[in-house]
Amino acid sequence: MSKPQETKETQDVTKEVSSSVSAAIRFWSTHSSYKIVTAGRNIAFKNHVLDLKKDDPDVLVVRSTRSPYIREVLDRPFGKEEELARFNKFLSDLIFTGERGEASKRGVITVRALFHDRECDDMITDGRFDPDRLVMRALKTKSFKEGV
Amino acid sequence: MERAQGTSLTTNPSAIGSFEWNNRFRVQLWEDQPESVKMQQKENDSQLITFMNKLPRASREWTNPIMRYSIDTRLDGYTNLTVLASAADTYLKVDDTNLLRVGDTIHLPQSGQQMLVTAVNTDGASGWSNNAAVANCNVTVNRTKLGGPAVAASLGDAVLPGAPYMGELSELREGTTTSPGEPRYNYITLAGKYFAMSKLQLNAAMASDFGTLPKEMENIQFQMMSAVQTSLMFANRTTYYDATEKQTYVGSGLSFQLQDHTLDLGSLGVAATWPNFNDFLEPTFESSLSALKKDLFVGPKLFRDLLNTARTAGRTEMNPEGKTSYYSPDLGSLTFDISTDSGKRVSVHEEKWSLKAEGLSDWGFLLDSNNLGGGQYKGLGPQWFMNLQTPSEVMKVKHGFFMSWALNVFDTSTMGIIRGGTVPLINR
Repeated sequence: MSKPQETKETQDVTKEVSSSVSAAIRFWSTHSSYKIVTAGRNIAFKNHVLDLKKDDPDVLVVRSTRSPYIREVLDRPFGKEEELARFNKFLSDLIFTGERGEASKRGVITVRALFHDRECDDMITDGRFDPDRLVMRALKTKSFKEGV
Repeated sequence: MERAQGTSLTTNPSAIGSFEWNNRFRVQLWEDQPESVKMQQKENDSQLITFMNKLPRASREWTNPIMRYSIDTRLDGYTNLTVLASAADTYLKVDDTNLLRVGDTIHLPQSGQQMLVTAVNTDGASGWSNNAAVANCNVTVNRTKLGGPAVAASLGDAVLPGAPYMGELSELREGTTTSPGEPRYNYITLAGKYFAMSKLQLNAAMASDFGTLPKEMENIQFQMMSAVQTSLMFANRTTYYDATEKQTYVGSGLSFQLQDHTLDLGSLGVAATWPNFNDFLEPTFESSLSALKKDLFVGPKLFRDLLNTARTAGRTEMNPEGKTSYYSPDLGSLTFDISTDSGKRVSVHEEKWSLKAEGLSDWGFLLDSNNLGGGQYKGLGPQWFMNLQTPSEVMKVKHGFFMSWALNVFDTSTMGIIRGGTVPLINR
């Protein structure tokens, strides 16, 4: 199955970010303050995110938890249509938690955390992120190392 | 009767008559009373439900399967620089622009600066680029009017709104309003089980209570309570439609609702130290809605490990009898109390059976009774429905136990979950 075609907008965003984060690993959690016990301290996610360098020994500790609430974020989209469909469902379930399917602030914050600081600047309208565009941007630019 | 010869023995060969026919004439000897059955282990416990029933907001009756609530959070009175600012920059990028208005002063205490806000952009498309070509900055400032130093400021520096100064003929500056907290909702769950018994058994004389109607009722009620407790911990909120059974509502459990604080014991498990636990516990007391004392329901391994860790760190509290662990009559659990580094108290209760399964025995649920609400649908609280057998089932009785419930977490930041670690090494 062919890789989804990227728009120019997506390509630009990906290019801008990749240079600054290529040496880093981004762990992301659906829980805002996830902490993992390690010798003498806790490895702590802040606002859903934990950024580590590739050679940081904490990377192994985080991976070894195999927690269903922790994902390793990759700056490329899923390649298969079925994966994209599942990813879309996963993200939508996080964001659109309102009684009538409306977006929740908590969900937007959670999905927003998949991105680096400047990846989403263009999606703010009246000080808020457009949740539909946020999902689309995630589908086009992000995936999880362990699948979805 | 028949005649027989020989010594009477305790065995009963057919030739010797006094104890023949399978000891039919021998009185059964019981170590204790025949109805006294020694249970090897209690089947389960449901202290979490007991805790729920004792919540300040436990006894509410709802009249709609969907209930709504909302929690507002305190807003920080400061924001941060999201990109560094050079000494000459007049465009800044801050994390929360809603905090600032034109005419505000801002203070950057770390670099000792104060600035006057001249414009604020909230749509992320300001077109303002700073001297380092960072696009779409969101605040424009005057750095000379208020005097003081104009130096570089670092990424992450705190930005504090100061008073909006006014001159002789100034007008009032615009302030910032707030919107209510995010609306939340939950469903009320309905569930029930039944048992059937033949009327022959119903009227049978039994040496113990096994097989009797009261025992069967106890069994079913117990099964239901255990199952409901599991749902209280792990159910995901959902609703679905079935052509026959119509709409089903499933309320969310604790693990679904507690998405803020999680402590993963990772690969260390039993070797976790007091600072690990304290670091998890302290932030759950930050909210002004937090209770001063929380309850932590843990599996048996975590109970043991946390007790040892807290003892070593000197964080256990003695009860009036001078013991660290004690039986809590309110919940029917083994309990000990700990205090965090800042003096907040947590009662740790052992969920001896319901979190006994391998991999769950070092899990824990940190609960805040001020921020949990429980209740039932009006008229559908825990109750028995008797004689459910159909008219043709003349040889049966059928009774069922039913209940409805919901458990709502209000301020999720006041609670958390501890997830398991490794199985400990045992020295033999």
